[in-house]
Amino acid sequence: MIAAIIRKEFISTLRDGRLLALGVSLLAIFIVYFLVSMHELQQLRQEKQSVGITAKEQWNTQSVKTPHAAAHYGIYVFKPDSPVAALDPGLRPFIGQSLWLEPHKRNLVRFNPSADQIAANRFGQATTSFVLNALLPLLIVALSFNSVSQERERGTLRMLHSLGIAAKPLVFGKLLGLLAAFTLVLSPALVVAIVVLNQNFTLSSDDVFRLIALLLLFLTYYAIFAALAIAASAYFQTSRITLFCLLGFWLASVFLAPRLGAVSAETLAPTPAAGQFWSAIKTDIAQGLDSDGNDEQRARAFEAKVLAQYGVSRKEDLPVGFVSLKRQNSDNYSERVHALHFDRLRDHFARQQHLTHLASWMGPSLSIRSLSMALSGMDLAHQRHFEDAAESYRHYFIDLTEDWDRERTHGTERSTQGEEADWRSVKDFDYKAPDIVFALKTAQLDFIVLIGWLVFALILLTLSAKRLTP
Amino acid sequence: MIKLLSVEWIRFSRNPLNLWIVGLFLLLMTLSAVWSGLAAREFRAKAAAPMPHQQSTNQAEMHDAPQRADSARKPTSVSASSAAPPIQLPALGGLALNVSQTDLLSTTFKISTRSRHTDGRTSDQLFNPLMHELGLLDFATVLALLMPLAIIALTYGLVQEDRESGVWRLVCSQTSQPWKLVFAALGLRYGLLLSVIVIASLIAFALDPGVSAAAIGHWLVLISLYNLIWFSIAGLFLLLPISSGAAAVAMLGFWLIITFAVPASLGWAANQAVNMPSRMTAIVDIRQFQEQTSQQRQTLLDDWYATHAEIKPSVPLKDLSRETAALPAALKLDSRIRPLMYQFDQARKTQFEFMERWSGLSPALGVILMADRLAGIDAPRYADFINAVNQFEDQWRDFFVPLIMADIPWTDEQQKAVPQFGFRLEDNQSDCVRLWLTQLSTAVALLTLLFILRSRFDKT
Repeated sequence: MIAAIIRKEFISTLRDGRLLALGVSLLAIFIVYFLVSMHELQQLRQEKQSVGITAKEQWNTQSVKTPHAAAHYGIYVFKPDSPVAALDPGLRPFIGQSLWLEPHKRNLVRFNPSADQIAANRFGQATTSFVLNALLPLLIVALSFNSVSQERERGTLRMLHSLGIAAKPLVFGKLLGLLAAFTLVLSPALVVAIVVLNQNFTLSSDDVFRLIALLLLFLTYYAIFAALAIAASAYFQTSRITLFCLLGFWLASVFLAPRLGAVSAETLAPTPAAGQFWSAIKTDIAQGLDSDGNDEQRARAFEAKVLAQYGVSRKEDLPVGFVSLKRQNSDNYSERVHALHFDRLRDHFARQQHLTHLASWMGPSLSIRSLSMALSGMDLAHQRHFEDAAESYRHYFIDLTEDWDRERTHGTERSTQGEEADWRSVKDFDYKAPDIVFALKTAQLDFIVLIGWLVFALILLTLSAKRLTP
Repeated sequence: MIKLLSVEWIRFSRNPLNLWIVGLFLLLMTLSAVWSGLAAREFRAKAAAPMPHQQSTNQAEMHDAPQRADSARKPTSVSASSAAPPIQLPALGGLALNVSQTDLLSTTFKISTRSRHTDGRTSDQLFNPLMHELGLLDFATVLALLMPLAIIALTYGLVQEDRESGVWRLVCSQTSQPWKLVFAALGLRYGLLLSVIVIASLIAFALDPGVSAAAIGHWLVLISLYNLIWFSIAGLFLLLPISSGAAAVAMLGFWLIITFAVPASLGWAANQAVNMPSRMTAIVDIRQFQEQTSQQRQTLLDDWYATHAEIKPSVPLKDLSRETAALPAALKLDSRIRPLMYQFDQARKTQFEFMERWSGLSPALGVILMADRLAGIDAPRYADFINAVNQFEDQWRDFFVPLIMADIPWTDEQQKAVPQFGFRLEDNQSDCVRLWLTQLSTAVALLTLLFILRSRFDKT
């Protein structure tokens, strides 16, 4: 029986003029947005790669100077974007594009693209993810708001009832038929997206897994909307009230929940001011953590330790460069303090992300947005992973310059010079993005919320079937 | 007409759905107004609070940081220069309309002898990018997004549903001018929604201590026009010979196009007209300048003293402190980086003006641009501010650099003569008037069209 209902719903949805008009329009919008997003991503990747190579070459071809002066010239690194980011650029507009690695200080990424934009990001980004998150659920609402109420208004529901068709197979059949038709209409866009992505990027197996996971999660998201729409259509007496309620739900889920979630998070856990953040780092370095003593006490203790280690009474008599040793020691302390404060800040951001879910009761859009960003590698967790890798690289190349300095000097000399061969010996920053398991682990809460919504929607559909009267 | 309005009020108020929609809209707008007003208040409180003296870096962290004064009794020119208070972009009276956008701009600058462009710590804001990606409750944005939706909901089926049920035929048989009924219904709803947004706007403004009468005036004119535009659009959609559901979906589609697609397209067109330079390419240029000035450091130091023959170094050049010896090179570096960075502000300014000219195509965009103008964070004003900061930085360095290079002890007289920053608040009234005139012309055009087509409401 249910197979016949699914078939009937599938065919009638495909024959519905609304699907033709809205579906084709959205398909066209999706493809245009996707091509634009992909073109942008391609350009960005090329630019990051070429600027990264040029910046490293600038490092390699520095003039003859002291290794520490060379270190101060620093190295710029850029986060490589996954091809999946063509579907969802996630946080890219609000995250700096470059990270400068220099001695003594750990920097934050700088130059977020939104600072150079005028107004587009106020209403959301004109990207494929907007079509997937916001517009396709609207299409589902437009297609299904009268799926049951129209049967009631036309009197066909009474006829179906008299034929002995139970309400539950009817509403679930409608759900599956609608989803099948929707998937059929969506599939050309997916095929275009996969073919274009494959032609323009080298997709790794991880990228493919991420795309498949994204597809499954979006289908779950659409199933939630479809189930709720059919449940509402069965529950309310008229198509008008159903449409109102569904549009209200769509609005709440897509536009209000993310904003209210962000405001709740920002209110309950306000982000510290930049001045406070940097000041706390400087203070901790100067005054020391716990009982470490201030910088002068630490420096004196270190000097005494080094002199004892080498069995000399004066710095000048040391067989290695003391200036470099001392600098490396204070840098190690600075790195520890920076790591502490940076981790606190990123933990704070993660806590804010969890707090945004306080608004998830308004709809599943907040969780699918987080999941989509995570699978595209464009969320806070992936950014943190990149920054931590860059920080390790900073330690590596700064330590290398200090090694040259220390090994080539004695006592308190500062005269050692490095040259191009030294600069070239610094390995390139080779960042490996984490795999899909990392993405799914970091988005666990979002996944639970999405599944929670699916269960809730199916329960509502079941309950509305029980209450369905012709 | 008054009788029509009173009848319409009975019809409107007896439908609980209408009251729910207005109530919900009022609730959301009030929530947004309170959040925006409080955020603006907080921003102003922070700006007004005395800034503790904060060096951009200290010796414990950076071995080449400026030397601290030996004690409070012996300040030097270097220590005095590093004690300069930061400069802040002064917000205008409409800050409550778009306050979260201040996160994305650098609104505080530390003036020093080093380039402020190479150190993000001195000017960049700290924010969670996720909060901006999700969007906050900025009053102007929430209003621009939600008001059209409230209008779509309140005008749903106003004519079409009556047509579907056959009531409209009866109405037309009772009156020779059925359009008057439609206009009365739209007028009543217009007045109600206007009251809601005026109340919410006044709440937002009331919570911001820096509000100005001009900002309130411009804003109220603009939102009444924005409201009018959307009711005119709703009136035109009521003319369509389609079902009420189809009309609502079509209007929703229209809302999506002019609120999302048009601003995005205008952003793209603005970028085609004035291309935004690449920040990443700028990095390569900055590194090139850094390497060049690093190589020329000694020459630049010699040249500086040669050019300023009246100033003599206090010690032989090779014994100069690190910060003094590197100063001419730092100044040279900044003189090359600064124009490179200013081109971004200049491009934003031109793009903003481009979008303003075309804002008639997207009323929501007009609302956002007006809010930026009233808040004082619009791209043209920001570019002017950066220009003023650059000029002040030059003036400030002209004062401090000779004192640092001569290593002259710091005195009270010199402290009194330190240049003070003053950014003249440009009068942007004419820009605001131009923005609402654009909305007015759109509203007039739509209303005229609706009036011309009014006889079509006779169709049953």
